Amino acid sequence: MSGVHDMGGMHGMGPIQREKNEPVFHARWESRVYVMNRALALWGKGTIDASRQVKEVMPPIDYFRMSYYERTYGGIIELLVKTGLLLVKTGLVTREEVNSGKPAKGSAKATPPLTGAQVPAWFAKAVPKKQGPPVSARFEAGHRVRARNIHPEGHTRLVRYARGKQGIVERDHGVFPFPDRVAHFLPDKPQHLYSVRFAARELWGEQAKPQDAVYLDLWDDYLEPV
Amino acid sequence: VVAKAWADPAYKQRLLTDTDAALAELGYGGQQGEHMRALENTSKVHNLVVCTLCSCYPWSVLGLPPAWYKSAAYRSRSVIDPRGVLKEFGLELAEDIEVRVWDSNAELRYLVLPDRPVGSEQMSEDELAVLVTRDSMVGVAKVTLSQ
Repeated sequence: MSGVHDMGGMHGMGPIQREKNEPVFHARWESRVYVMNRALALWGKGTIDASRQVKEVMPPIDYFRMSYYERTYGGIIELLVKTGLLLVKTGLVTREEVNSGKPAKGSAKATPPLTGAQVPAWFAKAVPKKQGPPVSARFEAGHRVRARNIHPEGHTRLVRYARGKQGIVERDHGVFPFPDRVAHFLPDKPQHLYSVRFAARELWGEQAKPQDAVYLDLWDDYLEPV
Repeated sequence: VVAKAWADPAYKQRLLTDTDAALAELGYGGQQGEHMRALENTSKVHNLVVCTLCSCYPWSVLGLPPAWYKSAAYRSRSVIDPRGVLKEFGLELAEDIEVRVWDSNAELRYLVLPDRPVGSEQMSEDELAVLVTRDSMVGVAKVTLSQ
């Protein structure tokens, strides 16, 4: 969706604020939200794209008002309750339970339970790429391509600033799950993901230096041949 | 990783061609660091990493990102005005340098291999490692001898 999260190239966001000796977390609750988010991911019933999507649909005014960890917290609740997606699939939690902070009698528990002792090993372990049937690649390094001029209302990783712009395939990363599907718990459509080089001038016009470039990782369905 | 790449040309080659395996040699990798790609800064090319759509960052390799990396200012400006952003970080690039901005909009995660500082030729890998900063591996700073 063309939401405010898709902010590449926007103006008016001010100077970059840096903090000297910045702590990893600015408050205890931030670390708790971080842990909740990771625990939810380890539970393995959502997708990273679903967790992005629920933050993207927040009202724009809230998106900007909230800090990163406030958005993460809001996203967790959306994911578990409001969208109903996980609820319908798993029956893990209801809004009443979230509001009261107490599990309802007889409510299902995540199995197997995640324990603190498991966490370091979990985090250190790479999430393996799912091996699906082979998918053919439409493009290869050196091909001229155009990012399609599409404006999906659902989740997409095709940034607005590249739509309709031409670039050159720089490499083929292999087959990856398709975010536009899995974010909405629709059947996946795994496909090749390519690194595509866009000249900065193609994206931003004369103001950019002729030699500068922006690289994006784009799925096969986002591209058309030139 | 960076110091080893500077000190050991064979390791550097592995880091640039099979980044995940080269990181794993030194014990790095894991969640949000599965599909890593190292980008080499040279005297002609400067790489800068951003995630305009959210705040994707190689958590298991670089740690959690600083707040500025997740800010609307950094996310919105890095792609359209990388040189202006770098100037705010105190890094003014020569006119003829090629700036490559990597928007990590998919599940690839990027690590900048900064260029080795001039004057560090006699330094050991351990001495070099002390010089390397997080900011230099995101691409908003160079590695210098005095930091």
